[in-house]
Amino acid sequence: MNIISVIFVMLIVTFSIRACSLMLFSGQTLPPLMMRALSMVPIAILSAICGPLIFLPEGAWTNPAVSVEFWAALSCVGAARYGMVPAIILSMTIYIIGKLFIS
Amino acid sequence: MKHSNKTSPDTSIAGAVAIIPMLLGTAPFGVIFGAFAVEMGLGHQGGQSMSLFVFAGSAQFVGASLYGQGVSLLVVAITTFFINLRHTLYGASLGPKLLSVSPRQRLLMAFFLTDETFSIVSRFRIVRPRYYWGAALSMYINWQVWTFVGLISGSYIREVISVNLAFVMVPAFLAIITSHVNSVSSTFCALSAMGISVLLFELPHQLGLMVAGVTAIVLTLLFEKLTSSRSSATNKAKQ
Repeated sequence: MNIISVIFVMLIVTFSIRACSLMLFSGQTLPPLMMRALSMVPIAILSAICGPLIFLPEGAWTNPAVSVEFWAALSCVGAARYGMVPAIILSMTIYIIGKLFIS
Repeated sequence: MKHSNKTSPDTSIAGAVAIIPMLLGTAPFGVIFGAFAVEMGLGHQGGQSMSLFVFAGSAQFVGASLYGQGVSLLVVAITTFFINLRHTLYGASLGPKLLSVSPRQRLLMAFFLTDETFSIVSRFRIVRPRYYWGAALSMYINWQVWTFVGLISGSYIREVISVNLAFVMVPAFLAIITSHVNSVSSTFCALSAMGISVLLFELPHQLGLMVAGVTAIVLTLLFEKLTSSRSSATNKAKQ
């Protein structure tokens, strides 16, 4: 197995997945229920990505009360009303300080 | 959960600016991937080529690892498929928002559809192509640059960066989720997706993400139906 064939296979598979759904649903008028479901995709998938990283930071359940990741995430949600950038800066500051001095 | 009524700006600069927090978040990943690719024996050209032609962060890590283990191409294909399966939802969600975009351009756009780009452009009801390209190409260039840095710095940087790198993206994603969450049902959707993904964490190839996302959407639709029928029943009782 050489690296060129690995990259080629990964390119074909990744691109096919991305392209099929994008082409299939482009410019189509979808039923209201379908549109409703698709409008939830960003919230659902991004939340699903974040969940384990917040609550299972080391790959196992961590008590949120003593988890730096949890408090950093909570501060981000709290500060999000002031804008994305302040929320990220506050959250990362808490995370880095927590990791350096507490964990 | 309300639809965003906004149309994205029609400039690539706006897209590039909007994705800056994501660029900062993915930089360490790129560096680590570069170092990891060298460790797994992909070499400098192989590592950079994977970033250039595959452009799929987590799938690249797994692909490099599988290459290092010398598994068959079929295993590489199946694993890549499952890791990237969530992108079907991205395409389905983004497709109807791309108005007046030629099929050829849509195909090109598909190559650049990553978690980060999707999270930025999905905030809008209608996505202008220039905005998409500004965000997507910034992310692509950023990924190439940091992969290159990782390739030439090798394991040195990997040892220096010892914090939980995966968490770096969480604040950016959470800020985006919070901007989407504007009702009881959207809060329900976010919390149920998080909860289910934690429960399904052990599933292989990150399948838990896809299952949790789809399940949370179905549960939210049921929740909305239940609450709307309850409220209409209450209104009838009042009348």
